[in-house]
Amino acid sequence: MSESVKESAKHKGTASDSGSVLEIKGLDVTYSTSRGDVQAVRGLDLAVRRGEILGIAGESGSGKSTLAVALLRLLKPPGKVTAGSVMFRPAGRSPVDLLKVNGEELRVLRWSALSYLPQGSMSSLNPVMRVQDQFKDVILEHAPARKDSLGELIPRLLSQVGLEPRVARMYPHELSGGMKQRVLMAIAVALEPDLVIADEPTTAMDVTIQRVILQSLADLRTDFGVTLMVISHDMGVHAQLADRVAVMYEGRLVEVGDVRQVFKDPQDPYTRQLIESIPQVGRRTS
Amino acid sequence: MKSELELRNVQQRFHARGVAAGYITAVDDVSFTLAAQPPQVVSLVGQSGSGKSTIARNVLGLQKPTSGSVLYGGKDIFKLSRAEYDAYRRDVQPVFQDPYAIFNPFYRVDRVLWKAVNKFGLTKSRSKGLALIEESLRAVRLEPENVLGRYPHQLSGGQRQRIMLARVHMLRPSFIIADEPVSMLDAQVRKHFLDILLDFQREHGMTTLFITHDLSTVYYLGGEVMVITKGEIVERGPVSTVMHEPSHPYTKLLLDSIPQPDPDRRWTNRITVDELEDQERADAKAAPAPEAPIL
Amino acid sequence: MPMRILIAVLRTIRNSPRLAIGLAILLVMVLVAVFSPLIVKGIGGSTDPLELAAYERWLVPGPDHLLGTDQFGRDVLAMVVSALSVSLQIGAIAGVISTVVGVIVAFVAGYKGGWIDGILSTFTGILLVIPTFPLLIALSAYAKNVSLFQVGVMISIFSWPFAAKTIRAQVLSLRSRPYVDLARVSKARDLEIITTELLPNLLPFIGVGFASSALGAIFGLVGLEVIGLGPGGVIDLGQIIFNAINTGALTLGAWPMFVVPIVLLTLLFAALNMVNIGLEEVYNPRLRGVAGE
Repeated sequence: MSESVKESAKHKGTASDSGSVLEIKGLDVTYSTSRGDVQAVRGLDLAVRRGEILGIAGESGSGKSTLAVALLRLLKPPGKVTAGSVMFRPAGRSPVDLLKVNGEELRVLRWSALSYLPQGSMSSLNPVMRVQDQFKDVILEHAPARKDSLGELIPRLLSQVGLEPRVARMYPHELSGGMKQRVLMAIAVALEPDLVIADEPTTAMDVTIQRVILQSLADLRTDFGVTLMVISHDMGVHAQLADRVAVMYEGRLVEVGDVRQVFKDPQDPYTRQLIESIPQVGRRTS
Repeated sequence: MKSELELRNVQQRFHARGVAAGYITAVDDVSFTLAAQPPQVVSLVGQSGSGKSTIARNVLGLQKPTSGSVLYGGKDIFKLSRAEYDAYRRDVQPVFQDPYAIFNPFYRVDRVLWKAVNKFGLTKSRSKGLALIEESLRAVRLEPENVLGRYPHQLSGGQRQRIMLARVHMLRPSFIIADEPVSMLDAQVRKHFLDILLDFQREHGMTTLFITHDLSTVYYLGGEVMVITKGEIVERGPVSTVMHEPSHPYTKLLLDSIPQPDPDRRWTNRITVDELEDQERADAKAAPAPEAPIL
Repeated sequence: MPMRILIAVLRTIRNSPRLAIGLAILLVMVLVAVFSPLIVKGIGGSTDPLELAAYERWLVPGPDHLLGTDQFGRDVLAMVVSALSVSLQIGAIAGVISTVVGVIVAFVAGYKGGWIDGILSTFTGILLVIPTFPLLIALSAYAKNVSLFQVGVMISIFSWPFAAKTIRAQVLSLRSRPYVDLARVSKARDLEIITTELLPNLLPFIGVGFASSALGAIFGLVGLEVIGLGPGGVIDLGQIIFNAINTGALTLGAWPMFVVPIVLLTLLFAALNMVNIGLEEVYNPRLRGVAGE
């Protein structure tokens, strides 16, 4: 890892006290169906602090994935944002409302300031391109100046997520699901974005692979100072990874707090229920 | 008479390109016995590429092992007489993983249940058949009017998977071979499904071979467990023993890798996994195997 | 079962306007072809408009002869109508033969697998790479005065491998579906699995196979006619074009002789392709929009 990356990591690290990288205010998302409107997200307020790992918990249908696609402006009809603002404050750029920026501005922000790992994102790698070429595509599109350092940057990014340099020359079909997920994680942080949003990054993975992915996600924050928003239905994932946890239920935020507080002293009855319902392997629940 | 289901030294190889030996051993010298009496749940737990789904296909007679044998009532299932084959088919029934792919998208879901009625000669009468179907749907807590006459895509994953359970309920086999039946279901729906399976064990005396990658499901079901990795069963025993005092390092690794829902018990050490090898094993199975053509 | 297929067809058409338009154009053409004897009679009245010297030669389009007459004094509209019927016939003959052969080969190869698949696939592959048209020319030149049906069979010999190849790939992918496994543990036999589990899901691909073979045959025949090697005794669209080119019809003001068959062929081509793409659109999940989930 080069000095400059470390520097910027430190810089972002210290800035974490100075406020939030993302501020969601009064967000409403509605799906219009033939049987009437369904509110998927209702009046949601949430701030993501710089440098933290924020876990978004909730069962399927709680609106947590809708929240992610809505603030990334990837919501597909019949879904529609009906109210609210999402202020994004990337370091060294002026703050923007993600719900108001035009397509071109959004394109500039994506990858370089804001990366998204969608659910089942393993399939979003191009099957006919080598891993290294997929890196090049993203990096050169947003930071053409780095062309010369690519040869050194790609192996470094791969090793960051625990992959060998030879993976760069492989095609996606040669990789396992967990490895593809980590390749995407490495691409997501290649341009040192301020915020990475990961939707169910470990769903449907074997436990050992899941553990490796969670390790790598934690590393991203430690080494790059990137802020992470991790969406997962698995409370175990949040307990292992998050600094703070936000719990969603039926489109509302029912509780947000420090991970210890949420697990040890849940304030909302739903949170309590969610934690109690986890099967505890190897240890009998009292 | 209740029969036994036994795997004796089953080995399954698949051709694979880019591997030194030219093949991959998906299942390596696996032996175990499932007894119909007393009814029990035996879990087979392993990760992708471990060979656990291949074992399910071997037991169901969908894949003939390269060597070794699968015995039903002491006889090789690939050498049964017509009558014995009928008995075996009736007595060993599956629930598969993917609730979406299990239904032929061309037909209404009723067809799967009517096939069971007709193919296994449950009754000749249409009204009795319908009564059987409705009874079995209610047994898995589905309202017949909500599912009958629908196309698969109009039902949720949980509903579809319960229709598969209704099918099993109609046939009352001694053995259910459940291959990752809940891996695509939500937590709540998953619990329902497992409870029904446990009901079947209690009320109808069915023995289940439950194949899964998820240790918490195994823990919930209880009974016996076998741990499989790289085609070999490395540990077996009662769930409580294996989960609390695992003896094999692989079982320990698996148990230790479950993310504990307690921020005070975070992992302190790091692990590495040879994912490429597991991927090769998984790929070899995905490719059509010329040495084992269909039928 | 037939009711169900009808419902499936209706659902499919509703989901793709492209498919609906393609089918509508085809339907009109088929109707014209089926009723071509009546239409021809209607045009001619008491005289046969296709008879040599039925009218004056090279009449320009007018109220009596909407598309004019040709060098032998035949009504061009009547010629085009009956030629369309011939072209569609050759398409149907070759389409049916190659689809039936292709489907059988594909099912046997794809479902049985192993060495059977090896042999059949190699054979199919060889036929696929043989340059069809020169061979067709040679065959036609050798067998003078072949009938329409014989030409259809000749063309089919070269067009079934295409259908076989596409459908075999589908059978391979479908035969490992869980619902096939479920049918097997429900004691379904091979033939039953093929006809009730696989075949319905392959209908769109069979449709595509039929459309491509039919199209290939129609254009193959046009190609033969344009170089003067078509079957005797019938007029198809290609032969009208051949005549138009040979006699310099365009310079004589008889442009419909050249333009109308080409427009019809283009329309046919477009319609069949719309059906192809439409079927693809409806049945390929990756192209399908938001499904009914």
